[in-house]
Amino acid sequence: MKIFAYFDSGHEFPEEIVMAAGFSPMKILGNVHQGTAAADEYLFPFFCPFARGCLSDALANAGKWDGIGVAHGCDATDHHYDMWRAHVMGIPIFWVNTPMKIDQTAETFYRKELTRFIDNLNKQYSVKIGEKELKDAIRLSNQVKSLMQQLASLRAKKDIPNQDYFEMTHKAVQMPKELLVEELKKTLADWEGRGPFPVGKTPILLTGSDVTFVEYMELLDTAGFRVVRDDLSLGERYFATTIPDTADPMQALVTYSFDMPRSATRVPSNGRLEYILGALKDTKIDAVVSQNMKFCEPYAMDAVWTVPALKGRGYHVMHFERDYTPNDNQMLTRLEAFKETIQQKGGRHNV
Amino acid sequence: MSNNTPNMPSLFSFFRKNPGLYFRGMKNQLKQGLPMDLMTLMGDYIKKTKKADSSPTQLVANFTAGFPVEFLLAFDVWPGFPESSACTAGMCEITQPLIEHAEGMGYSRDLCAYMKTSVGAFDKGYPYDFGGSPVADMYFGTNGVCDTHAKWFENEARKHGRPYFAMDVPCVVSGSDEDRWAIDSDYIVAQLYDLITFLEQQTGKKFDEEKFMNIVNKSQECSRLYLEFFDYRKKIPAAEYFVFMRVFMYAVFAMWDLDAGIKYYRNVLEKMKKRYAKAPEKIGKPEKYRLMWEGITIWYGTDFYKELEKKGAHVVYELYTESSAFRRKKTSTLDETFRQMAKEFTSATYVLEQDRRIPFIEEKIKDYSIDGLILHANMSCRPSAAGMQDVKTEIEKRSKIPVLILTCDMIDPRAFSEGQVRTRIDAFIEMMEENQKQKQDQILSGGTGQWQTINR
Repeated sequence: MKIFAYFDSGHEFPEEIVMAAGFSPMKILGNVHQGTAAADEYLFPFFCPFARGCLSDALANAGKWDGIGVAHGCDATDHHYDMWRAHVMGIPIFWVNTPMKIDQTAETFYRKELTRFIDNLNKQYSVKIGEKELKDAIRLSNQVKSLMQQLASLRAKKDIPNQDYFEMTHKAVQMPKELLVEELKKTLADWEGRGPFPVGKTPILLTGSDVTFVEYMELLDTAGFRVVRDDLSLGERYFATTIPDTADPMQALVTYSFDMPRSATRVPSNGRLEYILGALKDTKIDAVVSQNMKFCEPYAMDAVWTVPALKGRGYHVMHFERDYTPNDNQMLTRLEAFKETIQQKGGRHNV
Repeated sequence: MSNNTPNMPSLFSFFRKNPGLYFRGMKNQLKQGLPMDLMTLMGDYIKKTKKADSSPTQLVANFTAGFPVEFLLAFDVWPGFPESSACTAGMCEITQPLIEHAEGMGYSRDLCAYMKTSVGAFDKGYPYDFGGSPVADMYFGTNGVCDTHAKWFENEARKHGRPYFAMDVPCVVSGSDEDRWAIDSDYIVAQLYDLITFLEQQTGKKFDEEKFMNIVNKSQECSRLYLEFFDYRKKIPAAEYFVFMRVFMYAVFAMWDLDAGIKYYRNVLEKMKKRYAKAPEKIGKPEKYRLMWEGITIWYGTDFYKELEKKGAHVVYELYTESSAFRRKKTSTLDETFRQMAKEFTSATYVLEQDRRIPFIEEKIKDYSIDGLILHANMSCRPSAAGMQDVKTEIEKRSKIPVLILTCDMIDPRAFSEGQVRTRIDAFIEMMEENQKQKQDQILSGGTGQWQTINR
C-alpha cells in the first residue's frame, strides 16, 4: 500500500483525506535512538528536538513514502516546512493550514483549505476523491477510534502496562488502517482477559508534550505510575471523539477537527483543561504528570496556567521539563519522589 | 476605566525603592546616544500610556506586534504595547532578574524573553519605563509572527479576567500560490470584520468607517515617511545605524499618535535632505564595513554595537526595523484596505518564507552596498531563527559576502557570551577585510571588482 507520511505536532492532519485518495497515512514520529544530526544541519539545536527528529526521519526515509503532508500545528511545523521542502528531495510535500481558532470564520476557512488539499492530491496523483471515498475513509477511521476508545478505557481496570498502551497509540497512527482494525480487535480480546489493575501502581493522567518513544512510558511504569488517562495527540486526542456521521463528509471532518480535545497549539485552549478535568472526574483519579519536552513552547505556555489550575482543585500534580532522550534516570528519581509524596498525602486510589 | 493596575507604581516611587536600578537603567538608556527628539517621542508614549492607564474613562488594550492598531484607535481605545516596554527594559539592561523572576513563576527558560520580562516586571510592580505594563481592559494577540504572541496574551487575558481577541494569520510557506493566497486573504478579511464586532461589543460604540479610513490614511503616510528614511540609509555613509533605528521605529510600530509620528518623521527627513545635499566630505566618513542584520536587535547590546562600530562595521540595514512599517500601499475603500492589510499581515519582512526571504535579502545586499550579513539566531524567537542556515548557504553563494550566525537572545543577556561573540566578530571582520582586498586586487588587475568566495 502506498504510504502518505505526515508531520503533525498535534492531531491536525486530516488522515481521512489521504485515505480517500488511496494512501495509508503514517504519522512521522522520528526515532529518538537515531538522534537529530541529519536535521541539525538545517535546524538549530534550540529548536524542538521532536521536530528535528521528524525531519531526520524524513531525510532518511522519504524514499519509502509516496507523499508528505505537513499540518499547521505549532511554530515548528510552520517554520520548518520550508526546510522540509528544500531538503527532503524527490517527493511531493503538501501544506495543510489548519486554523488556530474554532469559530465560524475559522470553520469557513478550514473547509476551503481541505477542499484545496483534495484538489492538490487529485492533481498530483491523478485520483478523484469524492464523497463516497471520503465517507468510506471516515467509516474506517471511526472504527479505529471506537476500538481505541474501548482499549483505552481498560487501562483503569486491567493490568495494562504503559508500554502496551503506547504501542497501540503508535500503531494507530502508523499502520494501514484495515490491518490496524484487526490488530485492535485482537488486542481488545487480549486486554479484556487480563488481570485487574495492579495493587501498588498509582493511576495518573499524563498531559503535556507528546510522548513519542516507549522508554518514557516504561519509565513511568518503573516509577509505579500507570497512565490511565491522557490528553496527548499520540493518545486520547486522536480517538476521544469520532467523526460525525453526516451527509456532508467535508463538514464532518471540519466538525471533528473543532470538537476533538484541544491541543496547546490552539487558541482558545481553555477546552484543554476542561477535557483534563473531565477525564480526572470520570476516571476518579487525582494525580497528574505534566511534562514538557525541551523547547516545546505551546505546552510550556499552557503549563503556566493549567498546572496551578489543577493544583488549585486539589489534584496532585508534578510538572517538569524533559529531554528528548530514551534514558533519563534523573527523571526516575523525581517520579519516585512524586509517588512518595502522593502516598504521604494520601491519594484517593490504588496508592 | 483602566485605573485598575494593582501594582504599577509611579516612576518616582520606583526610584525611591530602587535608586540603584533606576540610575543603572537611565545610564544605560543614555549611553545609546539617542537624539533628544527621539527620546522625547519615546517618552511621550510612556507618559500617555500611564495617563490612559490611570484615567477612569479611557479604555486600554494591550496588543502584540503585528496587530492592526488602527482598529483600536478607531474605537478610541488606547494601544498599550507591553513588548515595547520590555524592549525599554532591555535597553536599560535590567531584564535578567525580571526574566528569572518569571521563570520562578513557572515560565520555562525556553520561552520568549520579551514575555518573561513583561510578566516579571508586572509581577514585581515595575513601571512602564522599566518593563511593566498596565492591566488592560481587553487583549489582542496574533500569531502572525509567532504562536507565543497569541498564547501570551491569551494567558494575560485569562489571568486578569479580561476579554481576548486572537487574530489567526495563516502561515505562508514556500511554494504558496495564488489559490492559497485567496483563501488566506478571505480568512483574514473575515476576521477583521469579526474584530469590528468584538470592539463594538467591548466599547459599546459603532464602527465609524470614515474615522477608521482617516486613521488608516495616516498610518499609511506614517509608514511611507518611515520607509523613505531607509533611502538615506542606502547612502554612504548611511543616515543612521541599528541602535537608532530600533527606537526610531516606535512611532510607526505602536501608532499611539500618528500625527506626532508623521510630524517627527517629516522633520527627520527634512534634516536628511539638508545633510545629504552637502558636499560628500561634509556628510560624514564612509563606513569601512556596511552590515545587514537579520533578526531582532540585541537590546542589551549597546556596547556590542559600539564595539562593532569601533572596528568600522556599522549595521546599515535590518529586515526587522523595516518590517515595523506595516502599511505599504495607499487604499481608498474599506474592502481594499482590508485586502491590503491581509497582504501586509502575510508579507512582513521579519517572517518571510524562504522563497521570498532569500531573494529579498539578496536584493537588499545590493541596494545597501552590504559587506557582511549577521544572522541573529535568536533563542527567544524560533520562527525568525528557522531557516538561517539555508540563508547563510544561499547568500554566501549568491552574494559572495561573509555571513555570520550569532546565537544569542534579543533580551536575555544569559544567552550572550561576550568572549565567544568577540572572537567570532573578529573572524567575521577579517573575512570582510579579505573580501575587500580581493575586490581591490581585481579592480587593479583590470577585473570588474566582482567579489570572490574566499577560502575559510
